[in-house]
Amino acid sequence: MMEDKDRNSITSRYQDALILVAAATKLQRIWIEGDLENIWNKNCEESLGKKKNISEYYTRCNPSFLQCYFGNMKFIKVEYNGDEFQISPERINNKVYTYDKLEKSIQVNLRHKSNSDQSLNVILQDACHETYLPQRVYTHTSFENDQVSYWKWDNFNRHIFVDKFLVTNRDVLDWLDFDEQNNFTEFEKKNLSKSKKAAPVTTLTVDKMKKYCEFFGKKILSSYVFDAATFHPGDYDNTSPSGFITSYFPWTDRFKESFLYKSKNDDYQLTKKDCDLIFTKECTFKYMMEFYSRKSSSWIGIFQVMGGYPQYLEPGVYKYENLFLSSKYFDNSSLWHRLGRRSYWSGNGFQDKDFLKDIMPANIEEMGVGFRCMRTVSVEK
Amino acid sequence: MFNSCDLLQDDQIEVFEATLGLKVITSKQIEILHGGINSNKSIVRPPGVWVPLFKIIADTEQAFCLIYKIPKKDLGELRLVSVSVVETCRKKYERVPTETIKEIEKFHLFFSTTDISNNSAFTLKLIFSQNRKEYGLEFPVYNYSLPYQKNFERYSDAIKISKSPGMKLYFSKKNNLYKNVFCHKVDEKCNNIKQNVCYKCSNGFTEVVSFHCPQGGMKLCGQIECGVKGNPACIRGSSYNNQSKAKVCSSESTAGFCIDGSNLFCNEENVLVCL
Repeated sequence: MMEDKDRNSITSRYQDALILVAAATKLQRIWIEGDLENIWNKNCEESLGKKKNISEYYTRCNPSFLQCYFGNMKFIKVEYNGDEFQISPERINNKVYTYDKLEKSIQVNLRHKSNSDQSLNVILQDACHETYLPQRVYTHTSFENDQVSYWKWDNFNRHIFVDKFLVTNRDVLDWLDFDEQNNFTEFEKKNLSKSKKAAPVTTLTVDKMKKYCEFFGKKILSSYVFDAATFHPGDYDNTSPSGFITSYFPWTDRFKESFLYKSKNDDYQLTKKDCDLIFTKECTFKYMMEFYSRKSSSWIGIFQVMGGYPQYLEPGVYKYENLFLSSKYFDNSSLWHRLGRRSYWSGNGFQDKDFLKDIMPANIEEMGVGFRCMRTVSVEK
Repeated sequence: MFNSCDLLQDDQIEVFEATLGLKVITSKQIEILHGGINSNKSIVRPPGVWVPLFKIIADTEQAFCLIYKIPKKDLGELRLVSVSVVETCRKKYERVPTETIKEIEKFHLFFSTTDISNNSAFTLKLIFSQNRKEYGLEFPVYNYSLPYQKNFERYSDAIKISKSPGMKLYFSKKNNLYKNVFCHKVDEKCNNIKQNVCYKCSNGFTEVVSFHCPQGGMKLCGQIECGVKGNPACIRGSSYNNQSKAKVCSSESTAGFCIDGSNLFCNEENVLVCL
């Protein structure tokens, strides 16, 4: 027979567990919904950076927002059987979260403030930053020597997910904390921590980009998957089109409808809406670039496609076309502002010698390069 | 007001609830073993017999069976019995139970993974009466998720359906697999010669060109740079498969490609590689 003290112990352990579970469900809501309580302005600059010109979406599924939340609120309140309990995350080196490598997710250990015996490991998966590439036949293009060529492939029976946003400085700083085997120097880390956290990281060489994606169970986005994710497919229902399906921009195939074409006219007044679509060199003189913006989306819901920063793409069949150059470094009339057109980057540095001849604008010393990751998911388990 | 007998019974139920609850909350799977669940009619057949109701997979090693003696002349009894993951729940009433509730008059069991309308999906409900008093025990099951649906759509995320999608609760450590280990192997008849355990890979997995099967081809743990000399070829897609058989691994295959000018070669593992 179970002793009375054991009975009391198991019922109180269960009660504690239920309180922790209630706190975990509240925590998950904060994780998914982000800054609904508008606390960013209060005391989050250390963990999130300044709020100006950053979309609210940035706070969703963002571990640094949890750090900020518990910096401000300290605990989650849970009511149970008429009593109120305060549940706090455990802090390791002052961080409220760790990384669970097998789950490829953030882990927060919740603990009763008054009762330190019981803690609950809460795994929070990222439901905010990936989108599915539908299964169909896709076209990949090359504009080498201004000669367009096409190559087709498909992803039938494969489940590919693409990062919606470019990897940020914040993402990389977290990775450096999680991955003890990173080979960053203290100088590099310091520079990163001084950068705007929500901005795309543009200072990593290709080997570091690879390591970043790999740590999270992913790989760098391939150039042919980028084309697939951004060329508007036209007819969604025809998954095996016979022709080559491409488009100038993610939202239209009609170049003359774009502001890039209209802005050839000197009278054209560049609007904020234009710059939300493609943040070009002209935009830098007039507007601030918004980070984590969802105002310009591809047909599958990836953002930051054109303008802003150049993006490194793992080369496919066109080996020397690994850099999508449409960015704030090029003016409206530049031919680089077109989907499917890529250049080459050595992947080792950011100076003139690392790019093809005469690519880098003369007025800058270094040209930053961003990236995003992708992964294939197995449906068997 | 309770009399002393009520208090004793309530205490017994409270301990049973706590014991079962602590297993269920973090269990990764509930296997329903009886057809009489999710019914407004109580479980009455076959009378006088011990029937397993469900098995709770607590972690990689431990499981629990809930078994029920259906009332006949005597009243019914619920027993929670510890088993290993590989054991079945048959005849486990002979084992010393972890917890028990006796003198049950009627018993209902509810568990659904689809009824999300009233927040009752992934919640195990035991409703029973004892001494003409009705009890209801509810247990949310957080770590039990449905397998991925194959019909992902545009804008889908990669989160599985569960009680609280994207959230898991753990108390124990798990085993994981490292880079270059096969996490899924198939043969030329598309049999799984190694079950797909790619969810255990520390850094995701890479599918390789091997056999063209409904469940996909072979997969290696880790992000392997495909298409370069010495590594597996990249997958071009099933539409570009020029073989009629499942085996697509040959040096003439069009189902894979190399990106650095190296040549396709089918290795002894039946994986298309670039050499």
